[in-house]
Amino acid sequence: MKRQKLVKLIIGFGLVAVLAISIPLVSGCTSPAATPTPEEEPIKVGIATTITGALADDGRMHVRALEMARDRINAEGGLLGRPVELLTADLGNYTPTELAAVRDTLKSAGVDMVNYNWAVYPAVTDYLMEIDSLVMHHGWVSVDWQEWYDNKDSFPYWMTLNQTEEGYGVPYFQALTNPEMVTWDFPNKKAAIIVCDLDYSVVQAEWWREEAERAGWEIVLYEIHPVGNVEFGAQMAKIRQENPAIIFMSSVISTEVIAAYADFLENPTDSLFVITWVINKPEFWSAFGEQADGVLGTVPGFFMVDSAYTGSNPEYQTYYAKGRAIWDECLERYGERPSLQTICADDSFWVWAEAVERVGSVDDYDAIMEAMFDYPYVGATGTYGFDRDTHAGSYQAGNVPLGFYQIQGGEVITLAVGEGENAGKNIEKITDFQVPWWLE
Amino acid sequence: MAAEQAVNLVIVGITLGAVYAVMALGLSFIYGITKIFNYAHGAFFTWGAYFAWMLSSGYLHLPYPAVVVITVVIMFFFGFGYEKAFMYPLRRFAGWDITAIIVTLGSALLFDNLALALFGTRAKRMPYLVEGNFVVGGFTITRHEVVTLIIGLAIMVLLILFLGKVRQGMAMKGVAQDQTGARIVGIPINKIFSYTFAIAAALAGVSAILLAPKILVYPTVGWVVFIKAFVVMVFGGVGSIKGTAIAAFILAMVEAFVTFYLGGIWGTPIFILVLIIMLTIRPKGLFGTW
Repeated sequence: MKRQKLVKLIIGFGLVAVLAISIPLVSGCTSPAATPTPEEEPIKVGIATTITGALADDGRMHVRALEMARDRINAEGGLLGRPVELLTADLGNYTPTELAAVRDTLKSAGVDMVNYNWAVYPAVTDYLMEIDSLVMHHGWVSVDWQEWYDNKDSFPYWMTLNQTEEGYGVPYFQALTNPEMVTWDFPNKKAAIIVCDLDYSVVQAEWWREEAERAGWEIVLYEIHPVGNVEFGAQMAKIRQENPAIIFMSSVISTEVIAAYADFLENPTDSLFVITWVINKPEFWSAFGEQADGVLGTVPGFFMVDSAYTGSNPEYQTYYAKGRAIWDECLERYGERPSLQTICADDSFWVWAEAVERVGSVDDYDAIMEAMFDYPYVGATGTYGFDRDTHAGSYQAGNVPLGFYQIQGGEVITLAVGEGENAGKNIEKITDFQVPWWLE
Repeated sequence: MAAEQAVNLVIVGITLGAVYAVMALGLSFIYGITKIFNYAHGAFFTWGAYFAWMLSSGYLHLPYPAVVVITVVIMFFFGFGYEKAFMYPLRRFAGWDITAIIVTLGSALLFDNLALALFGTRAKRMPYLVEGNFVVGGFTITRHEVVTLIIGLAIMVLLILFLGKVRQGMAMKGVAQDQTGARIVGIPINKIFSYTFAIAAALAGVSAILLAPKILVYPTVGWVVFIKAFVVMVFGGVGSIKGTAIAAFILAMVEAFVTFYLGGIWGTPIFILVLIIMLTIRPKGLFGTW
């Protein structure tokens, strides 16, 4: 009898635990269409993204982009006269169980397209290819792209906005040391590099390091840390000893960058604090407010954020106008500005939607891809002309500009924009660099 | 190695050691007295950090001394309530100690996911206890690190005094030595269990306040600290305050120097390796009794 009660008790606790675990997962799993047309069968767009886990911030921004796009297209009568419906599946922390669940969920729902941000884990690509729907990948991750490219014969229906993250490496270092952009006399030619052990971050750091060494800089620290590390005391001890002119942190995990910067602020050195993608993530700004002023970052794609584009380049003016519209809509609707994830997701959706409209079919993937190859798409982040071999809309900064940013007054300000092979050298300056407060 | 580097590393090690010690003391305290291995101790840390965040930079913007006091009080009752709600009902059954371990694991997941549902995935940042630096003989030490060390050491001393001099503490020691014997001589076991969890949760709250400004507050942050606290507890000897304190400083120092010389990816593996070596040589840890 006592045993029965114990079993009941354990089951009771188990149920409570399962319920608690389920709440956040369930809350991010469905997303009905805004204005469905009842008589028409909806077009189903699957969103494979990170609703939970270390990259949950990106996932939230991704979903918002597609919600806004869905509502815009449905308000105008839908795609091919059919309402667009979203189905979100959580990649979480990319465990095999989570990936299999995403694959099974989207496959059984019969989605017409899978919109996928990026994962930096080849396994995600493998699982998504098994859905057998056209995949639109946001790009700038060579690991994801390479996994598809190696298997392209078995699954050709994969398109990416960009195939590589090289922009974070060579052009970024060039821009940082370009006196036209950074008007600060470096006290030495020493740099410290802190890298997360994801392939994606290591690749960027390697390119950055090679370019720095080519330019005669000494790398006084090259530290690879495990994903999720939030204790940087020992690394900062070394940095404080060497006092390098640049601290370059290559990581896409906000918590890592926030923790490292918080450690740096305890006793700042005479260094520029330079990060990559995380500069566009609200998680970073909100953690520091104006204490983040002076931090530098880069984001591939044209992403004029807090600062307006006032230059004369007509293409940039177009990108800016499109990006600004998404920016304003996001701010109004969600009370929070978008990240680049939002803008990229929007572009990847409309590249596909425009091709579908052109072809007049949502399931003729060959024809849809042909339309993408034949007709470049002008989006908010750049112009995407897809290559028939790589299925990428751009390579490095080929036809998509790189933005170089600095946080000023608590906002992300564009310092300069570069394009082409020498994106870090041939820049168009937008805003004056500000010497970080800890160097004044 | 330059003197400044060595001093910086020792400071990093000592500061981390103080926090690990406070955290591990709570874990060790619960196991030593109640014989329950509390998987939810990391969740105590997480919730202590969230309470502190809400009281400070999150919502109320209270001065730090008030944040510390209120968080400790809240966590004391949190631990007390946890024991009453989750552990006490189990103790009526045979083999409850094993069931209790499973329940602590389940409740840890429950609390983590409640934090996720309530506060979202976005990491929160807490300000340092005290801003600014001390410059001593050419070495720069942050005030936060000094305060962390002082609080850590003070808690250890207070805990030793509590267990050695205060009636309630001595009763706890009695329960730790022999529960049946303690019951026979009239020590209220149920009350002791509840106070043990309460004190351990308060300790987790203190370590959260000390460490959260450096490692942020997010739903699973407790596990990061919990794993280290577990290693410290086993290394020092389960139930031994002295052993836990010494182990915390040794392991934190090892972590700091290994990270410095070999890189961050070696910090945790070496941390665990040192534990394995210790357990091979001395299975009961530095000052353990089992």
